[in-house]
Amino acid sequence: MSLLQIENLNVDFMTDDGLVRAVDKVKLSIDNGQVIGVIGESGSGKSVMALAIAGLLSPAARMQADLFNLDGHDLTRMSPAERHKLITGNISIIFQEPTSSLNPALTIGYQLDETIRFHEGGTTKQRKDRALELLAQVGIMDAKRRYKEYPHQLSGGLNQRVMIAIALACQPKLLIADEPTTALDVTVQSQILDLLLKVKEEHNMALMLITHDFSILAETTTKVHVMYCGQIVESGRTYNLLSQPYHPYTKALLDSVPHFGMRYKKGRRLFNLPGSTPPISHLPVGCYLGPRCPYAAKKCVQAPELFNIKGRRVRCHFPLIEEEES
Amino acid sequence: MFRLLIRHGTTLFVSLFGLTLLTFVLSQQGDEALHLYQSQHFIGQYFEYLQFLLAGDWGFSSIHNRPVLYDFLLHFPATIELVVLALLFAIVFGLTLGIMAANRRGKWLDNTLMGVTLAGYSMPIYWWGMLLVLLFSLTLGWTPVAGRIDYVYDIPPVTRFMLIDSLLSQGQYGFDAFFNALLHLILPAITLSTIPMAIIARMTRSSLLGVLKAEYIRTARSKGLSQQRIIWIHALRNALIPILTISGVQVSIIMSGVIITEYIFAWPGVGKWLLEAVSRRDFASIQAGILALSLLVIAFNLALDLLASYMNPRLRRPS
Repeated sequence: MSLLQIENLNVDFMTDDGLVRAVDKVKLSIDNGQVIGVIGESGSGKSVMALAIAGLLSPAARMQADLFNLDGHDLTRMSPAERHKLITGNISIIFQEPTSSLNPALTIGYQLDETIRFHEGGTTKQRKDRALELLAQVGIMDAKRRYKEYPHQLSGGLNQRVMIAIALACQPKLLIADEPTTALDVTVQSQILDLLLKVKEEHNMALMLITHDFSILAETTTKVHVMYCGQIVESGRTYNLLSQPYHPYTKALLDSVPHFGMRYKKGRRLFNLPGSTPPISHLPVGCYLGPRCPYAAKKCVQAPELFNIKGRRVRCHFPLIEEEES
Repeated sequence: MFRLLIRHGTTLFVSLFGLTLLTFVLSQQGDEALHLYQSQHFIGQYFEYLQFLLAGDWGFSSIHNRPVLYDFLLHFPATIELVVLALLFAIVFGLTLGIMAANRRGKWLDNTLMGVTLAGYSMPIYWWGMLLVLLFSLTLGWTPVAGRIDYVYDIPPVTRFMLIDSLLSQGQYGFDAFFNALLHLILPAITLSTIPMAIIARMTRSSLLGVLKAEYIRTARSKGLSQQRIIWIHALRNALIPILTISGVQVSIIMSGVIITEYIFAWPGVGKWLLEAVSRRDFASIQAGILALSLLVIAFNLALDLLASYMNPRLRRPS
């Protein structure tokens, strides 16, 4: 059974230019213990989608969905307070900037302790033991010292570990990691990634990895959703999607990454998609990729729907299937 | 903590130097010399002046025909009483109003509060004080017009703080004297605290709204904490740091307001004493009064700065 099921999730923002749609008809589902990936450029709406799922949108945002099931409960039929309670009890989220995600005026220990107090309770002693245990679990060596320190005294990697410990203290069934390694050093990145997968196994959580780095997804996820301009343009099993992308945008993303074994040739350049991501307040007519797409044709002025093809979902009039096979 | 003391100590030293230099120059303006200096040179005299100050010899007032220090000790507690209460009003009500406004951002309460504080901020306090007297003292008769306490109470000056002294003479008057003193204090304190309160309220609102946008507030919300906890623990802890620093500036606003307020309410404090000294060209008293008010500003600023540093762990324990 799916842990999280979402259909036609829309998120709109009231701006001076009028209503702007940041997340458009997103459909996704996560099973218990599954690891899925969401990939897209900056501004593709992946972070907003994550915040919407975690119930953390700013008051300026409007969110609507045809279906929003979490752990067997229909969230669309709940009052905001009930929904908030259910979401915070089941979903934890960690962010890109660990140091600014922790309160600078409170100690690590305090921020961990209040989370444990809220979700598990227990005496002061029990909570402290639990906090130290969690800190040890996320690989913080001198937990006792770190417990008394402030976020500014810790490195980014350590702070991200603390964020993970706080997330674990909520005992979530789903952990959303919104670009958890983007702000960190490369060596620390893989450590954090390994840690995420380790705690995912230990706590039997589902994990949603949001990133713009295919190499992270390839190793870790079973399923990938590709987002562009707030829409999911392609989703499918990670291996299939990476080895044979159907959507031109997915292909363009993959082609723009240098890969191991690539030969240096003078004058050779990596593929890049012409133009830039349009601002979501001024989207093109029809297919949002249309003006940048090398395969675009007349039909592309009509907006394509997401349709199923060979166990994959693609939002394109001309998926790249025949060309690959011929 | 040590580094903190050194940093604040340096600024303290510089401001004390500037201040004493100013009062030293002032003390030489009178018709007759304030002190008898042995040194002929200006710099030597300055250091001698400092020695006199430290020894408690603040000069002799020709008007009152007694040492300046005597008048100073007579008036200083009254001013401190008034200033502390005004500062307390300003901070407590300023914070409360600011938090209320930030909590209901954009709603009518927020707009009303911001309008009212803007009016309070623009209020000329000599006019505002008289309006208060007109309404509460003369029309409604709730509060006395002037002074520190009614003459029926004969309070022996022990600490010279009227609130404390009236409590000490409780055996004689019960709590009547205390409440009478409090009633005398309330209008001047409100008058004096209006502008700082308005500034602190607006500052609190904007600081809190800024902090509420921070990423760690999002984290706190994702933990499922209550809105109250998020505001009072997570947001206010950080929003308070700039507010405390601003409150230090408010002390100097209060100090310049205290002179006119004491005059309006016939409050026998340093401000009224200073005004009298100025009008009668009593340089010895002027010099001492300025010294006293400025020392008070410096002391309050130092205390608030230390408090702000204590609240900010990034300053307290540099890594």
